[in-house]
Amino acid sequence: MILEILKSNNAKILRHDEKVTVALVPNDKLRTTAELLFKAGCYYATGAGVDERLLGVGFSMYHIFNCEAEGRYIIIKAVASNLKIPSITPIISGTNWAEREVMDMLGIFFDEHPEPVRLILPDDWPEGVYPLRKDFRYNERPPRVEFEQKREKKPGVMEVPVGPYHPALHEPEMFELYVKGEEIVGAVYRGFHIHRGMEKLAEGRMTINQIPFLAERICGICGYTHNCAYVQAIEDAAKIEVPERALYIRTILLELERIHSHMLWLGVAFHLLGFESGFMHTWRIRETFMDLAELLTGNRKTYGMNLIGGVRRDIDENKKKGLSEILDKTKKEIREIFDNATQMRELINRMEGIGVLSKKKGREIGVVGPTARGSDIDTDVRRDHPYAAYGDLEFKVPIYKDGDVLSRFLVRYEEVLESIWLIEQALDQLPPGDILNEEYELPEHTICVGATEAPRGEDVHFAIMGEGNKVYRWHPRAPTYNNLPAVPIMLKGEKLADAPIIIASIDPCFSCTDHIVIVDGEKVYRYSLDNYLGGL
Amino acid sequence: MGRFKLITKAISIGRVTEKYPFVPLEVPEGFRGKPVIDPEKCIGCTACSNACPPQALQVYDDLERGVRVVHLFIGRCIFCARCQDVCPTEAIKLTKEFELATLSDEDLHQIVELQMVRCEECGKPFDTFRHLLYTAKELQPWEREMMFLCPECRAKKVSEKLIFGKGGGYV
Amino acid sequence: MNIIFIAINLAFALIIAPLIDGFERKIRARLQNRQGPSILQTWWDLIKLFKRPTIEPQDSIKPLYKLAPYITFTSVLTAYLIIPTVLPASTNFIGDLILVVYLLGLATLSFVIGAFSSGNAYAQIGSNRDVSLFMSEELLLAFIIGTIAVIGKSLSFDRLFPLPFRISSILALLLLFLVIYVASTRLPFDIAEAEPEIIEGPLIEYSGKHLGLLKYFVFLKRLLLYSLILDFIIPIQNPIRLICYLIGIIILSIVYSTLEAYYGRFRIDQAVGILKRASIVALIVWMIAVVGW
Repeated sequence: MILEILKSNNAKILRHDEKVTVALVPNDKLRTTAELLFKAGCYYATGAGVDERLLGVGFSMYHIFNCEAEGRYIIIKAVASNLKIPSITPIISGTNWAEREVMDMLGIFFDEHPEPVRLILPDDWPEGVYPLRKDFRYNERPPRVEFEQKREKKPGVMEVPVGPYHPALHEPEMFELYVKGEEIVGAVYRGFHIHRGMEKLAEGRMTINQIPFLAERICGICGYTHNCAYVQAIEDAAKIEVPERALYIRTILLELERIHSHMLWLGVAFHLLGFESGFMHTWRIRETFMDLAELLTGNRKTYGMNLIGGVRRDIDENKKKGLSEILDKTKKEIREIFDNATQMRELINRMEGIGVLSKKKGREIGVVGPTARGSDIDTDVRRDHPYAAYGDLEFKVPIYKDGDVLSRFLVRYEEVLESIWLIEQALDQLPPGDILNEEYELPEHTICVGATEAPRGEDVHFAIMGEGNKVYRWHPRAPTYNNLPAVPIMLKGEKLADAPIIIASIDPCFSCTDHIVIVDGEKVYRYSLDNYLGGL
Repeated sequence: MGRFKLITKAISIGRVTEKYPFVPLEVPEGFRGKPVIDPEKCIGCTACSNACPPQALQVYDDLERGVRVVHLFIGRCIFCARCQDVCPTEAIKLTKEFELATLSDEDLHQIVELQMVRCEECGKPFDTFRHLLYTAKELQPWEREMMFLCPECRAKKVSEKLIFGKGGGYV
Repeated sequence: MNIIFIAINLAFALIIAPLIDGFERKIRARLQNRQGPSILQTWWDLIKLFKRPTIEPQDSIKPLYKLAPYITFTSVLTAYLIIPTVLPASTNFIGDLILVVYLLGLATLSFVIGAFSSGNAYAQIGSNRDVSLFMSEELLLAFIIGTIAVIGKSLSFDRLFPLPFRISSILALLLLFLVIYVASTRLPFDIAEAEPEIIEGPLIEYSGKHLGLLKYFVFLKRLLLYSLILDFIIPIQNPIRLICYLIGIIILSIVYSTLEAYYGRFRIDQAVGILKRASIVALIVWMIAVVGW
């Protein structure tokens, strides 16, 4: 089916195997191909621009689609002619950010893009300097330029800034809410304040086996899943056989990470609803999972466990026993806390029917993870693209139809219990054998993709192998990148008091989203109170 | 009713937080804390600095003094234990220590200096004594005579031998 | 003699009010499985705030902004002259019940005016919420005062302490218990401050001494309202009044802080709805009191 679509559009198939299809599509057919793929049920996962001048091609854009029905990723490559590629945003709104990012970072222009303004680069970044081009050094710092602050004032509407520093957001990001009385009439997201230039750093300085340690630092909560996605991408490119025991250990750690991430979110949700004791109860239980992570990996976070070809630490009988004991105990406790907490009417009242995202809109934007599953979108990378040991284990994917904050809350709660069940199965079936396969050869210039189901949703890592133990291009895409554009839609028409819980309901991880860019960290927005109080 | 069950639950559990800075915190076996180099065991082979993802470990040669400096800066360390994995002599180990906050920058640096061998021909320091001894075990007998030559001089010597055909079986 | 006793009462309030907050923090910590800070922590916080420099925001109306904390603080202190705390001594005159209500109203109003004059968007949203909460709370309070005046057939506290034992007085005190809870800005009614939503709302721009005064005001107000409800219950000339009073304060602290720890925050419309319903109940209680039960 997918192949037919591609072939009918004169696409040249560059790679086609079980998991990934890569095709070079001519520019005039790009939009029809994208449209046909979208209609065939593939949603837009991410896009990455690549400076392929060193490979003798020029600039190119890779659009990555997730085809759940066939369990494969489809990568459409388009080569810029004269630095121009037709935009597919008019057809799929989910590509908006990806294309703007490439415009900022590589200077490829997308024809007919509805909103061709800067997304990532700050206002004081000079024009015509594109940090992801290969002739830009990873430690270069261009001079600041002066810029004009453009702001429109709307009469009768108060602008309320949520961020960059706000107690409900645990990272510096900014939502501008336009408020009439207590009602939100509009919302704008201004993000990408935390730029760490990871892609550039990885391409410029690090070797292939060092990048896992960088990848996991994309996120402070779900780092291991990024690590896994990267490692899987490389293993996919080099066709490395990973020992089965390593795959099971990865599964256990990924699920451990999901539990602690969801518990963290559930606690934060209670905190935002003003229920501090619920927060403490949840985090008390979460702490046992942090201790488990410490036992298994040597650190509170599930960091530093993966290498290409396997994992670094084994789970011995002793640890196995400790693990299952603690799981048994906490499972009961989690049920106890949440079954009681969901009986508290004032909490439920503040989540029910709030921040609704419809299924259709969600699909267009390409929301992933619990955000999607709360809106009746049946998607889960673990089931659709089995990786690690998920193919051998059984689990349920919870789906809720209402699309409100409560649905997302309940999805996460159920997922915690499913994750515990998954860890129990994985521990039971843990096969004997090696944990690390270090005998492999790295190919050159292979296009590869690795995906995992992070606690927040689908996490895609796209990579092109380079020469001599390096990657040519590495583009991680965190789940929040796809979920954030849905927040302004959820916010519209709601009460200001509900804004924090709605923003939090996608479990935003802003640093994850922002990792990608290299920008002067000392940049300060010159917002004054005058600006904020415009309409009042 | 859920509310009251939660209250009784909280009371029955009691305090779970610890008076942390005033009581010590236990960490499990295999904890990845502050890395410490054993200066007695380190041979200056640079395996750790090649593996270190954040470049917290750097190895450089001070040619004037003829020493190889193994410089560990914990401010950059991410405690991944890659150095421990790759160290051939188990000289670098991650300890259980994790309270690293300090008022003085110096506490975050560990510097190990290793005496280097000067090349017999050109007099340039090229390797540490310990590393040379460590590798000497695996050298072929006919390689031993060139042990104290720096790589450049060795290459020159080898090509000389090949040209003049006097080498001891070096093909 | 009376003046000395009143001075003792005032000193007691000034010293003990932050300690009660410290005690409540300890109780909440206990209910949340935490160690919790020392009982003295609230005092340390206040002392620190009074040592810190104060900053006035650029866009504020400075005289109002600076004056507001002082008015707020003094109006609640004045109320202590009328309501006896640890010793049964107070200045009383006809209509002092009304004066106390107005003093509390003045405190809230100047609090809100100060916030409005700070020019911060969050402060304005917070004050908006504060005002709507205050309005619905005031309605309920008016009905309760009416009931109490009818029961005691007086508008002066010396005739009202303690209230005669009747169905209507019990119901009125229960409603007063609710109003006090709302007025002492506790979860789930701390909507005006709501830290995760609007970052302490009215307090957002205040700093140093001014912030210290406003925080102090909240603690003093809580103690004042505790004393009020206890005075309605404990016979004023009883020899063991002092012990009853102290035990009463501790019981109220424990009950209130337990409720606070195990409630989620209401949205402003939900809170106003609850207070409206309570007002209707208060109206009925008033009727009951008029009937003479």
